[in-house]
Amino acid sequence: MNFAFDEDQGRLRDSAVRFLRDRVDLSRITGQGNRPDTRYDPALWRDIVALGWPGLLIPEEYGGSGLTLVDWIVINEELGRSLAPCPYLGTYAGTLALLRAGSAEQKERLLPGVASGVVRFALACDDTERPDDATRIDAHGAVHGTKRYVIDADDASHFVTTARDSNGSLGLYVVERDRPGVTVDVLDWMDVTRRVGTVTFDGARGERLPADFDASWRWIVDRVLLALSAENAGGAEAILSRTVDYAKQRIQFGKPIASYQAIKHKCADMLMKVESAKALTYYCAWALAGNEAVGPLSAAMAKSFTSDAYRFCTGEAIQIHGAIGFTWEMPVHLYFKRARANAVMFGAPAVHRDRVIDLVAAA
Amino acid sequence: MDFELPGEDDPRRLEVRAWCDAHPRASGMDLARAGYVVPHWPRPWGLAADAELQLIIDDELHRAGLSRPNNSVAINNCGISLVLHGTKEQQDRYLWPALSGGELWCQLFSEPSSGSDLASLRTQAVRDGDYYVINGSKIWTSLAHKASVGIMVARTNPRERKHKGLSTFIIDMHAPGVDVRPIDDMTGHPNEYNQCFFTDVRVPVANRIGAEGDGWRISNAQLQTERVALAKPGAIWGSGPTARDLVDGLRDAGALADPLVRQQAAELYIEGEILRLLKYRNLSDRMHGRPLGPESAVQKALSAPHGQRIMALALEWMGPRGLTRGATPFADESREGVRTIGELGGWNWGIWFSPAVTLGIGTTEIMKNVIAERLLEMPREDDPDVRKPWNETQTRTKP
Repeated sequence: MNFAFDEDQGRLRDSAVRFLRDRVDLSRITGQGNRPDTRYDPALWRDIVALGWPGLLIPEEYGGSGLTLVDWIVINEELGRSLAPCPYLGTYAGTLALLRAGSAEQKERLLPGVASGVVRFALACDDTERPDDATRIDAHGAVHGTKRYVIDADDASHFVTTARDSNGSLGLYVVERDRPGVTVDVLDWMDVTRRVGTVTFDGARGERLPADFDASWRWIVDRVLLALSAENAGGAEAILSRTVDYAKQRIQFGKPIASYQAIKHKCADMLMKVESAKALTYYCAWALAGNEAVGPLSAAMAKSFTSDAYRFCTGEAIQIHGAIGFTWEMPVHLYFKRARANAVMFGAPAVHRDRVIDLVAAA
Repeated sequence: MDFELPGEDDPRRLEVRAWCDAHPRASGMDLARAGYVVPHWPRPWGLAADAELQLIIDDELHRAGLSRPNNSVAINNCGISLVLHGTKEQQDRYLWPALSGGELWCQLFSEPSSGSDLASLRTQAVRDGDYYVINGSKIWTSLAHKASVGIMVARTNPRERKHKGLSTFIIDMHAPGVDVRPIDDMTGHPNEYNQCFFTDVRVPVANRIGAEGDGWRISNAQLQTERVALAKPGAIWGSGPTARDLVDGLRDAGALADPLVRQQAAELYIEGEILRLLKYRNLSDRMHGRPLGPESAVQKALSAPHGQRIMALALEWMGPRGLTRGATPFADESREGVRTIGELGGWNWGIWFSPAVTLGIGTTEIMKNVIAERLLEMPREDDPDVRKPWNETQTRTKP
């Protein structure tokens, strides 16, 4: 038993921390006033591609580095810690669909492009836990329907969308962004370090990913839940550290507010949530990587707990910062908003707790 | 990242299993002599076992249906003080009877005026020739009414600072002047807590552990040598029913159809898993010789409120029936692995005992101070008494 990252994973984390510290400047958003331009910086994405992060889970035969989920969450955790505005999560949500459900030919055609940054995916599905889909594939293979709240939609070159064929059976379809019949409307989204949009398909050609939907969907979604959990854990730890630093330098009544038990106990509560969130996330990565029996359960636990933990920590962070924590200028709200977005995307905590009982009580 | 424990063909496991097969009815003394009672101690009492071997031994004893003698204070808390600081005579006289379960120990630390601030304690040990004369009172002493040996921290020098003037003693609980009175707690069950009064109790100088004035250091060293174990995260200090037991009970009773019960049960189940994982991480750090991370303090601070929430849901789910004496949500005996504390345990006792778990073994407030100060490096609490001679402190001068 070894509950730790290995040396290579440690190096991967160190380089990610250094890179993101140098390259992610949240004051780009907080310094613009409260109607900022939230478009992603293409130069940041170019450098992320150069570091090989988009190809991390892609097998070497398709141009990736073929690493494991445990390596992958190191990156997701650091992206969550830095709130790096980039289409990593959206791209991976679609890439996972291709990895699981795509044919060898499709993988060969599309995955090398993901690794080299040419192809960026987004996963279009309204309710990931109940994909009772209103989107249709007609007899000519054209997609009709609207998908809301699609992460990284505007930055995608390809969508993977859920849709029903004329027999009513669900499937996964790849649609190219530039084809006629695809419209993306970017939402005025409160989580301003991430871009989310509505995608309308009006007769655009869809290419089916051949694997059985039911056999693939849980696998795909569980890995997205893992990525979100890692973001939540990293973001919660970042906001704890910012908050403790602030409490140590904020003087009231002649001493740092960090010396008052009311503040210390709030910070201790935050640390307990952070450590718990990390433990569950790492366990989930290990379970999904090798121990399928508890994989879905661990993903449901991690997503629900880390979401609540992140919301709790960011809420307390504003209270400990006091009124300054509530200003646009301080980055605390960026974390607060990411926590609330992540909590409700891909199933709210209560939805996954419900599943936890399904999975445990059936065992 | 790997959560697997040593496999079935591990040579160390096979060795322990062979011993268990050869000793199907091993006595406490057999287990003690084999080093299986305290494998983490040095020889001859233990095997200087690393964390992995400790887990293997636990596993194999459990598999063989063998249990260690029930003498937790000696085995898990105070015994190591004799190993580290005791004389050869003290070790020879006390350790084997303790490890074999022949002589029950109790821990005489807390006092009516010294709970969280243990170092402010008032019980005095005054040197008189070859003896110390002890006067004072200790409280919340588990099993003092059955114990024959007590390990006491008492003040030998009131003119020193509070942490400096303390010494550790081995007390004969049957000596003249020792008066043990059971405390009725709020559960309505018999329990194992006592208040102990010491009136002119004469203790030979040979029964002092370590040097005079070393009492605080010796008690703290106990905490550094905890045995590792992979116990289930039971509601009452690790013992008793777990969140898993609660979920199983609610399922069997059909209660999980209620969406509110279901949500709370899921939260508790997840917390139970987190506690299990934090324990894994702690073990794994020990196995690989890494410095212990924050998980140990976090685990302690999380587990007590977790246990209270398990008991609270069990009680609420019973409705008015839960308020009748002895009511249990589910039968206790049906579940394997429901362990007990001393002679107690089970759901009904746990429900009414649970308010205590955030008090004993460090209150939750003290745990959070520790987390804030040691892990987050926030400023320490100010203790106006800490640099004064004890006899000039608030504790001493106010009644």
